[in-house]
Amino acid sequence: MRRWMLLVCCMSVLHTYAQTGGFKPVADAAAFKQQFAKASQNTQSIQADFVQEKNLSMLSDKIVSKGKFWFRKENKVRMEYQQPSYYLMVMNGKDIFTKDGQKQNKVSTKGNKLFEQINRITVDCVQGNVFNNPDFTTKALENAQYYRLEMTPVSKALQQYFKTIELLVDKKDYSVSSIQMQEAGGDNTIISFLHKQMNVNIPDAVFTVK
Amino acid sequence: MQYLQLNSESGQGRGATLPPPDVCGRTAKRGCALKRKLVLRLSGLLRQNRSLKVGLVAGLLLGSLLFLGSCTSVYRGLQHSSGDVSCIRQFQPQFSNTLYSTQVDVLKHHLSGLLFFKKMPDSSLRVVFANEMGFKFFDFEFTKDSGFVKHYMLPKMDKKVIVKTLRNDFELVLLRASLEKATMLQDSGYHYIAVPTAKGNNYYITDTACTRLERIEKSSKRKPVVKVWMRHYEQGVPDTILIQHQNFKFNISLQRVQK
Repeated sequence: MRRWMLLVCCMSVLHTYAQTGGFKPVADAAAFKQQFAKASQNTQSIQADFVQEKNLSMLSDKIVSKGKFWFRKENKVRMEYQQPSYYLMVMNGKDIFTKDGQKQNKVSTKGNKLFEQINRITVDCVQGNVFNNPDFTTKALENAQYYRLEMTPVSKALQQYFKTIELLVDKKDYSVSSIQMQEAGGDNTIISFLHKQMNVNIPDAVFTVK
Repeated sequence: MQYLQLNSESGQGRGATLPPPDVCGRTAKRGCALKRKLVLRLSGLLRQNRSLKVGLVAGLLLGSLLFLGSCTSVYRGLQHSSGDVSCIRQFQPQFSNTLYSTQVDVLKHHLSGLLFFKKMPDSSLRVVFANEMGFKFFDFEFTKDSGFVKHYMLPKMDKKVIVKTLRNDFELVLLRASLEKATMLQDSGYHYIAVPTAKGNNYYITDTACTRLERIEKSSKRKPVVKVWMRHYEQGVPDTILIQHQNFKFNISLQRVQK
């Protein structure tokens, strides 16, 4: 029994290593940043499905949510959760709309520093445009398939919520494959983007809430 | 919709002999004090004018009797009954790995998210509330021996009174309280299993055959302060749970979702 468990443990460690391991600091950081900035400049819109995994480390369990994602330049984001329950979040300029099964809510981020930061982090993350964000210090790593951008919050206020945010960026098209938010307590949330469509036309109506 | 349905049922279930809860509402205490003041003043007047005495005494007696009714407990009309108090254990939710879509309305604020109950290998129960985007609000543990551990609370919400209120609310839902000192009461339609607490009683209200949990009430000495409805049990787990505070706006509404 014990041998089996050991074997299973080893295999799962190997598996995760193959997926995320082998990362080394990016050799030519300046060139990478330039390439990266160019790619994100060329990204006008993203449409994708997403899977969100909330890992509860002490409970050895996770909550998986699924939904649809839209992004359009400069700062429009729509995340529509369809499982396990309906939830809508739309960012449009300075406004954030949310809608759950019962209520609709609108927050203006104007004058609310934390919301402004969250707004910017979200938009920067989905665009991969994180080097210019003054709220984080960012380290770039790479392996054969991905770049990994490790962002550490500078301010104490943000550190309360995140230890780090890691972006996995596909080397093929410089698009963000996943966002991993690491909490101080050991839990994390991973949002993975699937079936990405870049630069498709997304109508205004997607970013308005009735 | 579910919320409204549950709400509309809240008025039922107490015998006709009892005044409706709002008679003994927040204003009752002040009303009682005013009445006492009034009585004192009148007795002073009596000393001055003896001729008024007889009529006033009769009037006062009648008046104070009427007022006494609204100053006492809404549970006063309940009769003692016999029966097995432990029958309510069947309504203890058998959470193993259960997820609820959750809305919280507290004063002017509205929160929504997912509430997750997980039974741990050591029989303790973890309750985690996070919003839909994975942002955690709290993580509590209810240990096997009725203990409580706060593993996490969002710093902005981390106030003693909030944690205590949430703890008490979930303890009502978990139905884990000792029944050693429980007694059974009844009115014309329902059985009330009363479990004494530091400040009053917890009432687990069932039909007379104890086949259905009508609701749970956490009460002060006089009136309910929290009401809980748990409905549509499936394999020991309720499909909907509603927790409603009576003295201020604080409602927690849960609908089960597939994990």
